[in-house]
Amino acid sequence: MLAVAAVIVALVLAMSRNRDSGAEPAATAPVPGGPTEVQGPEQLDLRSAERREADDLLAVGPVDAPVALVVFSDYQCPFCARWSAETLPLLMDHVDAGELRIEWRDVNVFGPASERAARASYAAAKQGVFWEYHDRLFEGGATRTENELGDEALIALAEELGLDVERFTADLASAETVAQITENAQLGIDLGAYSTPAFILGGQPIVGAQPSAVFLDAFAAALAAAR
Amino acid sequence: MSRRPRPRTVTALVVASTLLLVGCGSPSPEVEREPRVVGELLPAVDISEMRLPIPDEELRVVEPGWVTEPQYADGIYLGGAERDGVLEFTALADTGEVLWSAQRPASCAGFVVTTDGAGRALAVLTDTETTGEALAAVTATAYELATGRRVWGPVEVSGPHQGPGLVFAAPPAGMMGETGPRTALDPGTGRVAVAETASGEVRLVGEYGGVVLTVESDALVARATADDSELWRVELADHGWGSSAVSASPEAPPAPGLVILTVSDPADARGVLIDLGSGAVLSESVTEVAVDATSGALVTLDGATLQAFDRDREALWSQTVAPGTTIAALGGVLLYLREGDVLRVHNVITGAVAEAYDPGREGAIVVPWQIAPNGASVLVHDRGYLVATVYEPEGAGDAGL
Repeated sequence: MLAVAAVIVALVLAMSRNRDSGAEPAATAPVPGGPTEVQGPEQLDLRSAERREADDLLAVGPVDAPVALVVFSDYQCPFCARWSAETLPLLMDHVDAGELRIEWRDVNVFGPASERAARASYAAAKQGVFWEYHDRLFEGGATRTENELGDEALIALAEELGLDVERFTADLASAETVAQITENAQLGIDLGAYSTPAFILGGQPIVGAQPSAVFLDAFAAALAAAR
Repeated sequence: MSRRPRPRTVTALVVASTLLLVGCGSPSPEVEREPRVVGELLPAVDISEMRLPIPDEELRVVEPGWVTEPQYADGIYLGGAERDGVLEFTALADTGEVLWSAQRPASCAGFVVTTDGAGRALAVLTDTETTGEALAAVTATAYELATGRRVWGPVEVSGPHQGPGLVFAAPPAGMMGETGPRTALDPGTGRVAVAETASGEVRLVGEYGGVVLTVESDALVARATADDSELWRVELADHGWGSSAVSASPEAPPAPGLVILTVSDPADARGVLIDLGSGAVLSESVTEVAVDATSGALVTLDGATLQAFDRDREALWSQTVAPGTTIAALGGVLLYLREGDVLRVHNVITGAVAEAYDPGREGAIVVPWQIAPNGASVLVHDRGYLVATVYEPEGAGDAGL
């Protein structure tokens, strides 16, 4: 399950070379101490990662916004926290303008505490406060410690935000929440997410917490292309 | 240039150095110590059963037969191979031409490639010789890397080569430290630039192309070996480092002008990246560093944190990678990462996963180990080191003694 895939990080990106070969990475004769496999990019229709579903609890912005951003993140990833503090607010301005839709996908590569936090954020989303809860998990552009992502701490945070704690606690552990979080994580893994954070903006991949200007420029280009 | 030995290899070298030290003075076959001009192209090896990086597929690949990790400067590699009980060093141009070779006894023979104050690349070979004062003193001799011409030496040194750079250590015999006092030579002349004293007032860290780093009192100090002038000084307390905590890292410098040191404290040891020119501390927590000679991009790895910076040290991108991931090589804008049995290559400018190997090709995966600015590279294969050479127009590159 997710823990097995936890070593996988990063988004499959557009290639430095276009090839029409669909061959799998070739198995090779073992070299003592040497690698036995090369992880390469694959040709994908990355825009297909956009769900554009009206009932997506982890999304913000119009379903038919001209540009969509899919974010693959982890609540224990420091660069994800930094990106959420520095770049996300700038992009939210375009969400408010109706130009951008952001869809959040937790890939939880850091393990159980990340998965627990993702379930908690989804439980918060069921009460309409996903982004407020998300912002608190990444407060100050920093990640919480593993202890601060325990069930007790996550429930306490829900209480601080004025949520229905009994309902939140039930949703935190519900099979439906687990299924949704697992499905979201699998989406990132299926796309070949080898590291976090990773993004698909207007169908184009962006890997890593790159400077905000990279995202704003990519958004401007995608918006221009969509119009 | 980006040269970054793998930790496993470094460990092997330490073991090898110890064995060589133990073997000093033992009888050895006759050796031809003076460099001999060779001027022959090595034959190309058959790469049909290998998966090489795409940038190397069209290059001529040769196999020098080195058993030591090759070192590089100015388009020339130097490595050693054992032949009939003798260690034979060969200087190989990045065109695949063996420029010269010289022999040393298989025991007690170290070597280092460095540059003098004028930027001239040198090969310094050690030897054991009987002198009036010692039965088997260790000496060092410098040769011009391109031609094999002797530049200085032999000069007697305090003991076997220890490094980094032209640092030699006395054998352990109740003296300070595990190896006894160390000395550093000036690459330009071979004279002693810094010698540790028994009192420990000056502790030698390493010599890096004519700049020697020492710990003196409460500061890390850089001096030019040519004239002993102080280049810069970093107060240890400013970074919370103890005077006994700073030492040379087993990691080789990732590029000229950059140095990695190890800072130990009771909690752990961490790598510190320093700009050799200014003393600026670029990072206080690195496990590996590599520089792309093509783009100037710098990549640092700190546990699971991978960060890339451009030539001006502005951040390009950052990612979290799986624990245990290591940098295999960086060059030609491609970053080769090892994650267990898996090799993954990223475009260092964008962070994107790049297709650096032909997915339709089968064979043993050959991994770059060092990539030169012009694209020549040392590759690691199950048979040892290979060199992917660059094309040289006919008639160019004559070398002679």
